[in-house]
Amino acid sequence: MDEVLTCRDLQVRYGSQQILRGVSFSVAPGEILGIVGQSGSGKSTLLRALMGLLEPTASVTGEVFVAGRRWTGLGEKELRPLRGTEMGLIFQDAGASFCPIRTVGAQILESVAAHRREGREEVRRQALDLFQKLRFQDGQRVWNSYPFQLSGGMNQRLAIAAAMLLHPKVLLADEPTSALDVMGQKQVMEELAQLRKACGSAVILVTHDLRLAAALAENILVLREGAVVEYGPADRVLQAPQAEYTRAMLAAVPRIRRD
Amino acid sequence: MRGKMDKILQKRKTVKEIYFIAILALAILVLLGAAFAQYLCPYDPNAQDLALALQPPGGEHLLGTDRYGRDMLSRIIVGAKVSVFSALTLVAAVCAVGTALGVLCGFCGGWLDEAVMRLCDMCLAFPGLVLALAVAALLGGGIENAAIALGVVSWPKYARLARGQTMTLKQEDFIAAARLAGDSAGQLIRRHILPNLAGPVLVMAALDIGTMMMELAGLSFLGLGALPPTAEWGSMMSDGRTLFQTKPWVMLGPGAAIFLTVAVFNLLADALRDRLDIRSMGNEM
Repeated sequence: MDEVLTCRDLQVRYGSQQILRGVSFSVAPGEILGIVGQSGSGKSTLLRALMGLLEPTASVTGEVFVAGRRWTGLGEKELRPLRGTEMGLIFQDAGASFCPIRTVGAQILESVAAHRREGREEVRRQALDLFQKLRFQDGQRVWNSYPFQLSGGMNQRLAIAAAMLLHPKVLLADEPTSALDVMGQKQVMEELAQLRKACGSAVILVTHDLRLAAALAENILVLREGAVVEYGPADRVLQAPQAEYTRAMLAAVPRIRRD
Repeated sequence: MRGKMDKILQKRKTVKEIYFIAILALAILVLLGAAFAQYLCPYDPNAQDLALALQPPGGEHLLGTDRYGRDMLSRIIVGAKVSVFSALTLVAAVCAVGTALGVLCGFCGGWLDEAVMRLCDMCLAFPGLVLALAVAALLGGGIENAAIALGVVSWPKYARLARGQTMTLKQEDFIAAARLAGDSAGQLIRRHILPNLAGPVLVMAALDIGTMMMELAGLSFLGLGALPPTAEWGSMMSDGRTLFQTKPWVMLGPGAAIFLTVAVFNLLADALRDRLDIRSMGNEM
């Protein structure tokens, strides 16, 4: 099957500091890839580099292909219509990814209008239908709410719903559950799985939580100080890790025992 | 318990709303009064009658007369037109120019930012009124020149504020998310940056209306603003300063008008700040 995203030898450098050291991987349509690493391992930089969101001071080499199109080297203007529909991103703190002084509905409308020629009422209807499918309580009220009026979990679920409305081929999720309670984590994970099912989107799930990656991902990539230390099917990485670092990470996962 | 709390919050919100509407109504009243000043004057503000010079307040002339026998109340009412509208136009102009430059500098950075900010530093390095005095002296008297002089020294604070806010906002996730959603640079500025910095900039502008009125009055008081016989509060105070101990109403009348109008606009700024804080609207669902 053709890969929907291919990343080849991606290197990112800020001045003399190298953040990513030749990262390569690929993702098939509908696949969930878990990217695991400690804080500072370069996970968020990798996502921003894939989206073409790094500051101009960053020097980027390597290649990124999304749905057969080369993204590296594309200008801001060429990337604009592709972002969201070809590849979307869900931020770690979804509450902060919505403009604080505008309603969630207005922002979803705007983001869909930037990519599709559809009437406001039609987009609103689609969004409310989706809210209903995702079992949001009182979708209309959510639509008219400001981000600060919603809980962290609700904002995160809304970010996923907003991404779903654009049917992205690849969705990057930057630690989407790290700020949520257990119930919120469960709902967000269920919705990511639903996104894959409904839109056939591939998901790149970035997390420092190995258990989360193990529960969802088909493949796992372990990142350490900007370099790939292990990459392969989730079962193999979890059960027979090749790298010493992966073994150490697995050993560090806390287990609760009742004596 | 929660219901009681909600009721208290609702009551507080209503009181705030009434306060805001009252202050806004007062400010609108001042503006309307200034706009239709010529129809509200009981006497011709420039008509001299030396036989009636320096009449104390009361009787036919409610606020007395000045040294040329002109009715103080009429002059104060007509003076509002010059004082209030000059200050408003000036604030609108410096706010627009300063904010636009600040947003561009904060958003684009680079040489534009460097050049504009060094110019700001130069303007801010001088004490404002002293620089305005120099500019006004250079341009000559007249309320327009006084306004230009104050404009030259006032735009940097808006540029600084807008630049700082833009630089902070640029780092926010929602700006990155808006870029991802397909917003161009112009759309980012129009839809996200300007509305988010409007609160602090508008509050600064509302506060500045009072300050500008005082400074315009100050320049007029020093003879660098409105020229006689134009009725303007600052120049009226200047006219009456030698009479302050014997005929205090000549100075107190325009002084009180400045004080009250500045107070109204400062209170409006305060109420506007509360109102623009959208987070005070409601609680988490």
